[in-house]
Amino acid sequence: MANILSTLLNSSTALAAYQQALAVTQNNVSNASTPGFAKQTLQLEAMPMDLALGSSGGVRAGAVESSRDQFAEQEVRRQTVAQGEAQQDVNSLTAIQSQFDVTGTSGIASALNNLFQSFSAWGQSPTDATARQNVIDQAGTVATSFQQATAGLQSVAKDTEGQIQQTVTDVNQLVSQLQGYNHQILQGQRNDPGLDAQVNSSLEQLSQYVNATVTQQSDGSVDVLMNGQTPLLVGDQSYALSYGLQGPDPSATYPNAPPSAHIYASDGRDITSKTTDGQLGSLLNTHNQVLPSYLGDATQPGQLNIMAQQFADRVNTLLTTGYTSDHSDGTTGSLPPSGAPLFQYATTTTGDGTVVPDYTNVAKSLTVNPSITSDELAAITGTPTSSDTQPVALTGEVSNGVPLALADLVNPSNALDMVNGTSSFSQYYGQMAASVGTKLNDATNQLQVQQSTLAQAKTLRQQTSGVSLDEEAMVMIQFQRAYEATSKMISVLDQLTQDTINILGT
Amino acid sequence: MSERASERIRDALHFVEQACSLLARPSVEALDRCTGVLETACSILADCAAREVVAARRVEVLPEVRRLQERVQDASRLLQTARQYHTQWSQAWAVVSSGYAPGGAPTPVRRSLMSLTG
Repeated sequence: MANILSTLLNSSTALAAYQQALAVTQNNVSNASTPGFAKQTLQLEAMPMDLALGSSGGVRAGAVESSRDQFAEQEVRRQTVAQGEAQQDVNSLTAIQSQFDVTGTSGIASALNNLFQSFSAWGQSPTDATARQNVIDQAGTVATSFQQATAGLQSVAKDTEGQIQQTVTDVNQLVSQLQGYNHQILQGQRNDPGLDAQVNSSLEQLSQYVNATVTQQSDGSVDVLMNGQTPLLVGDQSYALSYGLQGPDPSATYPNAPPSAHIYASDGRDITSKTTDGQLGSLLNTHNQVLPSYLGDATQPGQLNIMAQQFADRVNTLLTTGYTSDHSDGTTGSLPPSGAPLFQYATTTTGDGTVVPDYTNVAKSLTVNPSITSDELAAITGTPTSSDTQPVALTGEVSNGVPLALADLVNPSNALDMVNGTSSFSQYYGQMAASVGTKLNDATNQLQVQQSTLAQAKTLRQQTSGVSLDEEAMVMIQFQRAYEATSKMISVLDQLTQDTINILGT
Repeated sequence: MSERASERIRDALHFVEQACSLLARPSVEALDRCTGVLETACSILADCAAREVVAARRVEVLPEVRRLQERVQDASRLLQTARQYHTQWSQAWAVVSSGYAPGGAPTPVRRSLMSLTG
């Protein structure tokens, strides 16, 4: 009798187990498209069989196990980090590129062309008041275009700061959500498939922003480290990141440079230099590396400022070493009047009282000398000889010498007329604009490949989730063969393409 | 003549892009198809008519060939990531099934072509 009852009980347990298995299957079907959801499997456990003791064997329902594989999840997150970074690179570089006009129809390139043309026109009629005024007007446009380019890039920097702040807030919110999930897991809900899906969905979102290393603990909770070393979440304790701007040290080479963006761990450590991946890494790179290459930072004046300063200085030098008249006024000791400088920009006083350019604010502050008149634009070159009797006259004078020298800036042969002695002003600007274009092109290609790589990682996750060891052994042999065949074909194609390029390029 | 070469190189590019799509979903079947698709791209590039134009050094097609090279490199990268994934996955399985060797490396799994269950 006891055995019959035991058998009935056994059958009842087995029925319940299979009913539970059906429920798990039903749940899998219902959640097939839920983000982060992984197939659940009900483990059936064998029950002991000892008829003498009334144990009749059979099966009972064990724990529901998720088929999610940590390795596959980690690969998806790793590719998500790279995709977040590539996407942000494209967004940031697109915004920067819009500040540079490479067509030469507007902005600095166009303003420079117009100014060079006005120098040529002035050279043809050095005494013509209209030609002189046109030089002053076009110089004003050049100054304005430098100011606008700087303002545009500063606006990108400001937007980037806002995005960094927002990203830090989003990271902290996601960590806070995960903290709540960990709490629920520690309260005994570790086998809840819905909770598991939420955890993984949050972790995937977090990976877009930062390089998050996730470790699942034996109690089912997840620990999250940023960059492999900064704790964001441990058990049910979260650690918030913070963000701040920091200006250069007063003793820095360029103390008036724009501030750099910094990320701090919850204990106040500056982790900016370690934060190089994901959307946050890309934003920091844009703010602290890419934009300073144009606008300057504590260690460099920035290309826009270098160009603005060297252009203004060269034009001013040529004008102030020329003369507005070919002779002095006849008073004792007087010389022919020199020209006035056309451009001015912000200066600063060093500790020893020396006035120097405010190197990182030249482009922003570049203006035309407000007091200059067209009569003060020196056109004449020559050499005053002090041994002359009064009035002193210029020797070897050229009435349009200065405008001709200024017009030569468009296609210079003298290193003094070049930026850093190597490139004309137009070339230097062109290189600056082209380098943004090249970076954007590279970033776009990188994003395209990264999108495919992320899609691949997600496919692989799906393929390998829940695969049994027997299945895996078979499939791996087939994969190995297929990889080798494809790899050989890619090598041949790569060689053929390189041969074609070599033939065409030589 | 160079137009024909451009056309052939674009055809090759089309097949390489198709291969990239297949490599983004790297099942055994997709990889087998991928090999065939890449073989077609190879034969197009090695095509006599195209080679003639290349031999005549029509530099107009150079940007298209460079684009093709970039995509071949993308395909190579996708192949590497998928292969690496399966290698690491296999190692992870080795650890699960056979544990670690004394040096700390996963114990190699002995595989056969036959799998018996039950």
